[in-house]
Amino acid sequence: MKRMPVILTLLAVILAAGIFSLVWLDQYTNQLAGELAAVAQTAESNSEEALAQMEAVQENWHQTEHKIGLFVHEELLREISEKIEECAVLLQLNRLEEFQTSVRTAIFAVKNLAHQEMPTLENIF
Amino acid sequence: MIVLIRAVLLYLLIIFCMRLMGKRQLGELQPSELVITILISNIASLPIEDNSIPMIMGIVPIVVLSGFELITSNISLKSKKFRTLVSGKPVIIVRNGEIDQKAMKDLRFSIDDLMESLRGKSVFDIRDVQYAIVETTGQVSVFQKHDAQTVTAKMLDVKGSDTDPPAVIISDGQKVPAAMEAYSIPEPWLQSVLREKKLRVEDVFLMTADRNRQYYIVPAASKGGAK
Repeated sequence: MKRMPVILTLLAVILAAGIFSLVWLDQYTNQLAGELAAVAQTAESNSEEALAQMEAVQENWHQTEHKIGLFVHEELLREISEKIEECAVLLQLNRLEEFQTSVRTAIFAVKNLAHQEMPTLENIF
Repeated sequence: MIVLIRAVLLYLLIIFCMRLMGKRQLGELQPSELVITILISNIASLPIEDNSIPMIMGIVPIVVLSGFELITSNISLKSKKFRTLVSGKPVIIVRNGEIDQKAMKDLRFSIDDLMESLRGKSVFDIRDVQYAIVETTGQVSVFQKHDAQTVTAKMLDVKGSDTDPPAVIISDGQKVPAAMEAYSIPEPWLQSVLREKKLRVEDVFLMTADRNRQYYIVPAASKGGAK
């Protein structure tokens, strides 16, 4: 068995997958945060439409959550799921002030997910 | 069920990585190799025990650690300086029969450790030791004084020729073609020996033979030994 080519290939694959997942997660979390912000803005004028948008956001998150779960600890994802769920419930109950606050914490949690995966000195050490 | 599948997958990965790292006995591991081995076993246990930890968090560090170990050992093979940096170098602790106490202190090697290692080499009297060297693996190599050394054929000036040890050519009822080829043992000779002993290949538990066609046969189960 040619050990060096095998291990170098594996390391290269891991590195490439790591970089790809980092870029993808950054893009996805930005997109999700943008969608949540859009729902919050819509809710100020049209709560019916906001509710439909919120459902779409929930659906999108539940579909993508499993993919992210392949390389991110489940605990972080559970936190975001709970926040999004909370936003949806508050919107359904038409408690708009609380909804706006909840959306802000959800956006923070989503952005924090990508931030925690970034290879910064703070995260590494 | 998930735990079972995860355990099997990680087992296969560890076997693969260990094969990549190459064969070494536990006692022959360099300090860095020992650390890597312990680390890998610890890392592998986490995703097996906890389903909330993604498998990738076990797979990536195991492959990366094995990979870096392999790369390090390859560089060590090519560069003596790097080898010394990673593995250290052998240290003489008994020189010309004199114990080097400073070297022992530097290695944090106690006199009990030294005596234990010497006894492991069947040396019970420290006065018999000419040289003792602590190898990079932590094992102690001993060179005994002339009058304490085991008598060899060379010392007695006994002439002889070097011979290869017997090879296993039938193991548990199956021929070992690689050994037969390496020792140039022809199939007809093997068949004639078996015919003479009234045995088939399947009836042989063990058969060894050397280059001079000296053989030894252990028949399977109740057949009884033959020479």
